[in-house]
Amino acid sequence: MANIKRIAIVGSGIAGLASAKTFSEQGLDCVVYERSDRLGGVWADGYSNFGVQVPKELYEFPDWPMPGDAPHFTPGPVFQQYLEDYVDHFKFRSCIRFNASVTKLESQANTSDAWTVTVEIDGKTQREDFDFVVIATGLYSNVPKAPSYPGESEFRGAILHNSEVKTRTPLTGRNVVVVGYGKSAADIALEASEVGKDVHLVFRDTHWPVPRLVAGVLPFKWGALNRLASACMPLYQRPSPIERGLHRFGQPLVWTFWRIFEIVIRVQYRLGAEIANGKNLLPSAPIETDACGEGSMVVHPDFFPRIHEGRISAHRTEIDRYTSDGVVLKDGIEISTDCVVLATGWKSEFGYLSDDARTALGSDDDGFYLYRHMLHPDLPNLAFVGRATAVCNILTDSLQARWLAELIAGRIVLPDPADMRREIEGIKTWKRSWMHYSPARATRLFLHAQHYHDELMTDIGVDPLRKRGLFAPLKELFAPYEPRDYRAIVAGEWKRPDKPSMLR
Amino acid sequence: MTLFLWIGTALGATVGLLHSVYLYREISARTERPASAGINSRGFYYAVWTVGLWSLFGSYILGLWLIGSIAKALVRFRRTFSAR
Repeated sequence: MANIKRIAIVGSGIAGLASAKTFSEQGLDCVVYERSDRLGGVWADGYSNFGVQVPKELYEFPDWPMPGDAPHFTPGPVFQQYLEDYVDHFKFRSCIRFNASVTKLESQANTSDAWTVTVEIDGKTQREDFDFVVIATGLYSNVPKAPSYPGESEFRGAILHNSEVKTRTPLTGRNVVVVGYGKSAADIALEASEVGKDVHLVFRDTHWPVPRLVAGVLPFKWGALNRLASACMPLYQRPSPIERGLHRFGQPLVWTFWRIFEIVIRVQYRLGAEIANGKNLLPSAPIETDACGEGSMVVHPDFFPRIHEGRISAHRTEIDRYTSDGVVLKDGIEISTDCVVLATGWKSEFGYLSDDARTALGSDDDGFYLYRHMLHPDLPNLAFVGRATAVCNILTDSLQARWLAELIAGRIVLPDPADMRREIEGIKTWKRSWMHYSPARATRLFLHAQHYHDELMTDIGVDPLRKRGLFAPLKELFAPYEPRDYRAIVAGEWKRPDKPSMLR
Repeated sequence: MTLFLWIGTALGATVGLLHSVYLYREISARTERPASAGINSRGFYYAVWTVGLWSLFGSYILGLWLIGSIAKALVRFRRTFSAR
């Protein structure tokens, strides 16, 4: 790793920017390929009224705080400007090549561990060699995952993916059906309830919402983002003896912890109340496993009140078919609509990877698993940043970038490929033993992110207990972990161990 | 009631002691210091807090554990009963 000088980074979202900043500061020559004309990835081009769903102190680069005058829940355009300022402050805008679409990524396996990147810039194809490549395009591609239903061709209204709803115009004055139960579905339904006529939300299953304020009083970070909540999650892959003891002898405590949360959220949002088709909004999975699913969201305070007021009609079912002027649901209800919005997510696609690379990554339908959620033993000098989903993704991505920088500098040494493969198999077995299926299960961490951050810190020789002060031991247990707790680490300001760290 | 509080506190103190030993060893292992150095002050501070918290809240935790055990058993019983 010591000979790495030149790095390609695919994508200029938060993961790409955190990587570019960290590597540039280390004196490495970085090139960031961004396919659009603006940096920021999803933040450069969101749907109407999109924004960060968690408070701003949880969604900021550890070494670049959000401006004090930014709203508490950062709107998308404000966050995009924050990213622009980050790039200018750390002076690496010159690394970014806009309108540069990576079309092929090939390993020079026969000769070295280097990679050749083929890029289309303004219609021209270029090939460049790099010592190391970081893929920072997130979990999904720009290809919408849009389910199709019979009768689509005879439907006279508009069928849109949520990414096409850039403004309120497509929803204004219309009868709107929104399909999905994630954050984008909730946001679009809320927008439609402001400007549309009848608004219907159609979803197969529900998930436990995360309130901004639990019971209307406690910010959710105090209940969910501390070590206590992490320890109460289904047991981690490598639990501490204390966690093992808690889950073995203290099971009733863990069970009670989550049931109290469920009762509070159920009462707070009246999830047991009847909805349009006689069902209710109670999720079928317990909160501690549901919290790691695809549909977990920090809910907007107006979302459930609007359902209960009837301004959004909720249907817990599926679309059966389209008719010429509406949709028929599987439970027989017919809805007259002139606009269907599919807030059903995105496909995962890495079409630019060579066949060999895709073969190495495997074809598991819950996504590909990586060593420390970043590396694959058969793809040397290739890393993925941003494939570990947590509540504070921006923090996780920044820590991953720091970990990689230490690896490239030779301050940590990877185990041999067989051990890395064993470790990957371990993650796979652990996740599949309790986490519900989702196409991105390989990447899901959520409340286990604290464990993952601790491992990254231990790997690079940093004390994972980051809280300071007289009450540090108390804070370690109950206070939420936030990006600012890792400021010095992400900035690279700590005393490195004398010897490189040998990973297991 | 007094007996329950004593039992809870004693149990808490015992668990807390085991927890604090684990924590002390972990923190000491992470701290770079000469082999001849004596007690690890940070590890000791965390250990004292750990014993203190477990002892202080031992009876509450025991109470919650009992309530949880009963509630969990009732929920299981109800599920089994309604499944039939």
